Amino acid sequence: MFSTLLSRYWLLIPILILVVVVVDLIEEAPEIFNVEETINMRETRSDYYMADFRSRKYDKQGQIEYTIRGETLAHYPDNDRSEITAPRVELNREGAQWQIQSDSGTFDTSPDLFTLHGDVIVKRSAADYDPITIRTSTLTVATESNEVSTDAVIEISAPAWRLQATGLKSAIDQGKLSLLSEVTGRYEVPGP
Amino acid sequence: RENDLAQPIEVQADKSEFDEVAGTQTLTGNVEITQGSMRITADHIAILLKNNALSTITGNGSPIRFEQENEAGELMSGQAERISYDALAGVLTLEGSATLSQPKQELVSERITFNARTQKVSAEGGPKSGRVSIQIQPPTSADE
Repeated sequence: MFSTLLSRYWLLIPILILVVVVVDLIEEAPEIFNVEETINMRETRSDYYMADFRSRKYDKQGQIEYTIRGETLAHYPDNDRSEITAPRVELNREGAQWQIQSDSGTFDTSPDLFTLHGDVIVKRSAADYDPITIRTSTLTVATESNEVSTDAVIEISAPAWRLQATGLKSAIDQGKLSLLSEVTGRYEVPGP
Repeated sequence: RENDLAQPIEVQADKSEFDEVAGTQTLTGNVEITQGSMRITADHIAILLKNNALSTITGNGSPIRFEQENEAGELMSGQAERISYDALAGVLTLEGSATLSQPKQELVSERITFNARTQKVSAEGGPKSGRVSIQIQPPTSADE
């Protein structure tokens, strides 16, 4: 009886052995079969999304700490980060208004930190001073500590002068800018 | 040269601090300033802005060096411990072991002032030395 079964289904035996070996290999070394790790879809899904939004934060004294506008904002719960397209950040400090825009950016909390990327333009206007424009490719803006900084190449321009450098650190509430290296500049000299 | 004064001032340095409230921009490390044919090299330079435009430059170096062409196209050069340059008036002051030389002349003093508009040089002795030294080379037969 057994021999008849064997003669009829002998071919199953090597197939069964092969299946066991393959299953074992998949568990041991999935990369051999280039098996994609299953991605936990929940982690990359945003929990809220805004379009053409404006958001404002007030400080403890009831003053506006910053205003953020943008085309879209998507918030991700796993790292509490928001991704923003066409962000526009507005800060008012010591009589000066800072308007910062870029192609895209991220926003993290505790502390609040904007990281802006792509054609970053900072426009600073103040009653007592000429307007200043800063251009760079990436910039971080810490709204609570009032620090604006980058490691990238920057250009600062005002009506009568222009400076270029690599790296910037600025305490915008104190009107101070530190240019970290490779500084070049040009000053127009008013006529006599 | 007088027309240097109408040229923009170009600067280079390792670092810079811009203090808007004080109206100063300081440049530190391998500082080089050029305006037309004038060139200043220093360790540290402070640029004072007035009405948001460059007004005066002060600086120090070890030493600070200066050079500029005069109207005759001859190169004047000088050095000192400190320098100040009034960009509007075109007046440059070298202070502290100051020297200013141009072909066949050398001036050594505690303080030397050079007015690029009038092309006039004046020198004062300092409290320590009190003396001004001027050296003028006699014309050689080739010059006559």
